[in-house]
Amino acid sequence: MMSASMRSGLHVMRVGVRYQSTMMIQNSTRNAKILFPKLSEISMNELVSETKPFGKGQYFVERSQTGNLPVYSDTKGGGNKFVTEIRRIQGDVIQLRNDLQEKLPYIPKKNWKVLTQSQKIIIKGDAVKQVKGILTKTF
Amino acid sequence: MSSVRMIVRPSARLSRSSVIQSTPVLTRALHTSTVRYDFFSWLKDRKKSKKEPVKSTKEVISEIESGKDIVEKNENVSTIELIPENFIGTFDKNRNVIPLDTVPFNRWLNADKITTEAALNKVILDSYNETFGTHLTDITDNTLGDAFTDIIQKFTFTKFLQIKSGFILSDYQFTILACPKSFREYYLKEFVSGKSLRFKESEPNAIHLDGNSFKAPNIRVIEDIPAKDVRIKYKRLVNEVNNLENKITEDAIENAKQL
Amino acid sequence: MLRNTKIVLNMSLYFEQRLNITRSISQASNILPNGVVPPAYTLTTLRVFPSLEPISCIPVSTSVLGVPLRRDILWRAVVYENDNKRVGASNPPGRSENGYSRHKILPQKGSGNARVGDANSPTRHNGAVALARNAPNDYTTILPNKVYHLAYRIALSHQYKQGNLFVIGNTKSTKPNSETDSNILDITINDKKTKPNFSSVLFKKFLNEHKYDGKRLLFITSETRPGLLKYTDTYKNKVDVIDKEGVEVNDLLKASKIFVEEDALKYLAKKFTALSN
Repeated sequence: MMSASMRSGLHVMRVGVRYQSTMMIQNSTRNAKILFPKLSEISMNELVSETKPFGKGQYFVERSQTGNLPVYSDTKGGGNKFVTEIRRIQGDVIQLRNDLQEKLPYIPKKNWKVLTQSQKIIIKGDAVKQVKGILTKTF
Repeated sequence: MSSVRMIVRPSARLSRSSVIQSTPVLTRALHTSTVRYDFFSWLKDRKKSKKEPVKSTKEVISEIESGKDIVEKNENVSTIELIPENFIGTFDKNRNVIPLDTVPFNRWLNADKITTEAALNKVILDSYNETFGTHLTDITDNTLGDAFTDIIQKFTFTKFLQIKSGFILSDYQFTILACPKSFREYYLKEFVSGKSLRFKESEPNAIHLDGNSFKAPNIRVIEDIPAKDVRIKYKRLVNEVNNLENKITEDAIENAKQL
Repeated sequence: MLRNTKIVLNMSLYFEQRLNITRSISQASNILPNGVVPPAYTLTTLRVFPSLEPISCIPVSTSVLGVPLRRDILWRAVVYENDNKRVGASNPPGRSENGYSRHKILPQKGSGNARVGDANSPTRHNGAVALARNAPNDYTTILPNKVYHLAYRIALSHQYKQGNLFVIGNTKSTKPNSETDSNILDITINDKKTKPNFSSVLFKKFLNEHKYDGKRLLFITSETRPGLLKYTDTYKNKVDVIDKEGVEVNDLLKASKIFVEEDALKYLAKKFTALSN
């Protein structure tokens, strides 16, 4: 099945409704972030609502302008210290860290650091590919 | 502290270190003055009013010496004294004051604000019926728990709700609340309970306690009475007592006189 | 079998293809449970002035009016603005300007007290200021534009959330129903001597009707409104009338209620989202 899907390059598998919807909305909003759209152009589910809160316990990781995940590596301390940095996090950073720690249990918990003021997660060591693998499923 | 109310143009009043900073944060200079729109008007006025030319001193002196400047007294003119009887009309300080009741104003909110839950229920049902053309009568109807699907219908409903209830709803709450039931609950919590009227800007997170705040029997809440009300009541009581005592003494004197 | 097919993949398809491979390898349960797309827009009602009757509503991006509150960023912006407002006119005398003579007050040795020079010394209570800075002093600080722009949007969002932001405008630009109302923040100047001159009392009526007496109000206009300026003159201690270019974070936060014209709001939104992506 894998080869069949690879063969027909444009055949697309729909993974799950949630992923599809976030990717599609990301694409549309990235291309045209309109500040004052017309009332007829928007739908009720794009509005702030009490039924869909975005506050404590929720997070969102925005992709860059070129469509890549905001997971970066950096070498500090003159090249001795290698860190992974997750940027562009909106919402509850600590909840995201907790969820990522669950998905990546082989990275010890003391390697994780959250900078709440700038809303970043720093992981000691090279975890770029693993983190991207997790984030790409959802965002 | 007075606020600076000058009309600001982007070019005006950039700080002296504007080279360093790129955002044009406007600084206050040592002097501020009002913007004069009528700058050239005094020149124009000066041009218009051309009085008659002033006479030379020699002419004036010659007139005085010859006696031409003396004006003869007219006997028919009578002088009136500045006593109140000689004035026409009464002095009314409030002659130009326009009473606020007479000023025309678009009052789109109902003057009677809702205070009971029953009134709120009626208002919700009326607004819903007028928006959707339905004839609902029961507040526990399930359709009132359905979220709005059309933004314009939600806006119409909210406008009717505000007009009939007499309370303005903030834009944020208008966006957040999803179904008529949530609107009802919000109005109940904020307006019908009297919370909005008790709101004080200097203490926005104030907690108001009363006798019903705690159910436990060992907690007793002493009602918070403003000091002003205490003073007013105290003065009224003292005045009453004084009046009564004065009356008693007067009566006693009267009785003593009669005896 | 198709080989080297020239497929023009757009971004979404590229990701979905990648996903096909990874999905067959790992479980689908690797989706993060609390990942949610934040809402994109909030609604503001457009009103008329001075009755504040709602006419229609428009959606506004959450990057303008839905920014979460960050008091530390607001603090930075307010401190920056206040620093830049400083005139720096303080001019205390240094010991060369203080005014006493150079005469040595006590002999160097023998008095029993500490050694003393002239009376201008900063150690003395009537002496000069040590290392006195002379006017004009420059207390301006710098703040990254992105931080200042974010603070501005946070201030607008906060006031919006508190219910203190009123937008004046009309999408259809139709004349308002009532004679006293207008689609812009302005009061028509009544120059005629006919009485009664309701224009002069209209602002007072506006304050009275909405119970804004004594409250600090902010009017953000897109152009100079001479009528509004004239008739709010008596309230200038509490009421600010500012053009859209001149509004600061301080003004936004100090006001109890803010009245913005629709064009002014659009201008501010465009200006303060220009640097963020």
